[in-house]
Amino acid sequence: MSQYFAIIGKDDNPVYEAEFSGKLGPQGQIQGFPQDLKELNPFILHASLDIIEDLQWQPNLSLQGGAAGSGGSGGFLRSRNNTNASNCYLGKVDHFYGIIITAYLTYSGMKFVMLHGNSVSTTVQIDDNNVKSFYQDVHELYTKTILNPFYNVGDPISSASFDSRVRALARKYLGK
Amino acid sequence: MTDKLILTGMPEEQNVHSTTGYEYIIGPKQSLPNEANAPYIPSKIYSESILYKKQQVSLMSMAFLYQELISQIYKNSKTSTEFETKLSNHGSNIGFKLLDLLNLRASVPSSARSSTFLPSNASLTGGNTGETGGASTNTNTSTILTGYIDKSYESNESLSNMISQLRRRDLKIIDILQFIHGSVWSYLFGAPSNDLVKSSERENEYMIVDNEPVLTQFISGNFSCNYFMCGLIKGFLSQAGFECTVSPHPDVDEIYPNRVVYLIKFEKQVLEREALKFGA
Amino acid sequence: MAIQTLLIINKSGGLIYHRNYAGEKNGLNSNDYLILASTLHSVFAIASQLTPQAVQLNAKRSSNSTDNNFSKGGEKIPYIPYVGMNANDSNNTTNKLNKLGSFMGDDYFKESFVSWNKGGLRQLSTDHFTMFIYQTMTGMKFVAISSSVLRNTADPSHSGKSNTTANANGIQNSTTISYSTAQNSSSDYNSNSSNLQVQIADNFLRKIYCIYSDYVMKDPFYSLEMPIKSELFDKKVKQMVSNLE
Repeated sequence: MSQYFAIIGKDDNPVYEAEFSGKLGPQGQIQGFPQDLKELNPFILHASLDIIEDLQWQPNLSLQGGAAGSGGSGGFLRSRNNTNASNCYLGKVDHFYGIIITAYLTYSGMKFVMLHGNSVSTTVQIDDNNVKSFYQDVHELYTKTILNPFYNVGDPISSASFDSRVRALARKYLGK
Repeated sequence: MTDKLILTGMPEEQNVHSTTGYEYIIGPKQSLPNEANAPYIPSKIYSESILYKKQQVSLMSMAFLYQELISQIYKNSKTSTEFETKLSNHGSNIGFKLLDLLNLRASVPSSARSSTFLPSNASLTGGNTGETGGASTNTNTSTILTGYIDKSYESNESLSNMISQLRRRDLKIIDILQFIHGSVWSYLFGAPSNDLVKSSERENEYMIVDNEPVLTQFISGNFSCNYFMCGLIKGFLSQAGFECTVSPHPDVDEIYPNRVVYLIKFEKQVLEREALKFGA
Repeated sequence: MAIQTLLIINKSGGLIYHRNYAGEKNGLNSNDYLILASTLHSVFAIASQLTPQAVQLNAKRSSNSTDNNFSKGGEKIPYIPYVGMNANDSNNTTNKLNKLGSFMGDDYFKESFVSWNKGGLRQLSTDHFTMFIYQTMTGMKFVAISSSVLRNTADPSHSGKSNTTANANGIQNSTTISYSTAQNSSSDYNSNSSNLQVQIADNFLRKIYCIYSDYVMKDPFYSLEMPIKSELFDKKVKQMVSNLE
């Protein structure tokens, strides 16, 4: 399973992008997104932004899975009626030919979006708890980034430290 | 060569030749399996915990710093509007940063106390009491931020390990204003603001009252200096999706010669959105 | 000790602040005050040159001695609690917060302090008023004119010993000038009520200096050496003067 992760700013500009791929394939090649589809990743991701922006202001996110239709991510046990429930993690927001799109919103409205895909076009399964933990940890890293006095909100995050940490988190939570 | 020359001065990113960060022009980089055991690139910013620690700044040095900020801006501004905008922008930048930081911190459960930091079911008395705003200060928001230090977590790098559930994003005007009134003020000045009032005349106006503004308490005769706090409130709210303008107004009486009312005027679309999502 | 007039003189002798707290007009216009300020400044400078040799030696000797009241840096002024503070306010806990600007606690300072006024004019007594001068390290002078008259300093049995008296013959008022270093040993001095007066005045003026450091020095719109226009400073000083009465 491989992922394409991006932080999208307020003006729908990419602030950070990364691609995480699991392991080497049988021929030693990197098992990532299919080469021909890879170029489409940013487009697929941006296509889901409308849904995210709609979900952003939902009082209670009972629509979970509704937008995604089939896909069967499952494992969503949180009670949606509870108004105290956290609404940062939006869960699965969209899907595109077997690619699942999950999203997360920070308090400042930055969109963390991730495509979960496979080298073959079969529907992938995602573990919500792991994905959520990944997002939360990246959120913390992002918060530390904006505390940097030399970083302006909305600029691309070019720090190699940030990059290495995000990739480590991806291995920890998503590298299965 | 030039890259290396520059990098020698930046101990934070020494290893940059082997690993580089995200580059906007190139696009996403693939993570390679051979990087799996690569160590973190050392960085002070990312390895320090952002957990709340009680820290105090001398009021005197703060006052001198603020004084210098004001005189710099004053010197470089031609009109009073320019002065106010510049000062306000300085505040906004801090508001941006506080939004994520304070919300994350508020998500950390207080192990010492059972109460949550700012219960979202907190009664709305703080805001809706238009005329009788005097006694509405919510008491349970005040002490927790200043009191919470847990030694065992100090060396812990990650805050998110301690968070079982993140604080809700504030979707309603009244919720986020309560947060500013309670948590933001406590973080900045050690106590919640003196009052949070909704205008009885206009739908989109709210007021935060500060009896003794800390930053401008030594400045007399120029009320515009309060635009820094206005900018901070504005930055905080706008970044969270509540576009607004904030302006300071004097409300002087015998006991509080410096009292300031921060008048927050929300944009039309914010009210429309709220009516659409939460309307009866 | 009612304060009639308060003057602040900058280090080059210019008057930067003056307030009259006595109700009646004393016939001085602002120009007169400017002249008064620069005259005082000059007299202060001359006085420090005129300090008699004996007094200087005496001060030197005392500073070498282990006497509690003296230290190497100069004369130590004892702290007199709550000079110019509102007695009612100090019990009022709700109002305590932030009351003293950047100063913590319920008083501006609580230790005895070393006088920076070495050899200059410090107190001027006449039959009608007493003038106290507090000099800061930077050369600013805080001058308070008090309505109280020190009877005993005019008493010849005391004046000869404890004060260097400059009797202005031919003028009706007898004028006593005391130099800051003109201190005899403290045992001799305790009997003199003028000493306490000076100490109270020094404590009071030092507090005015504290207020100045907050409301004037931390005002971004104040330029150094220029007249003080801060309303907040005005207010705080007035409050302190009225508390003293």
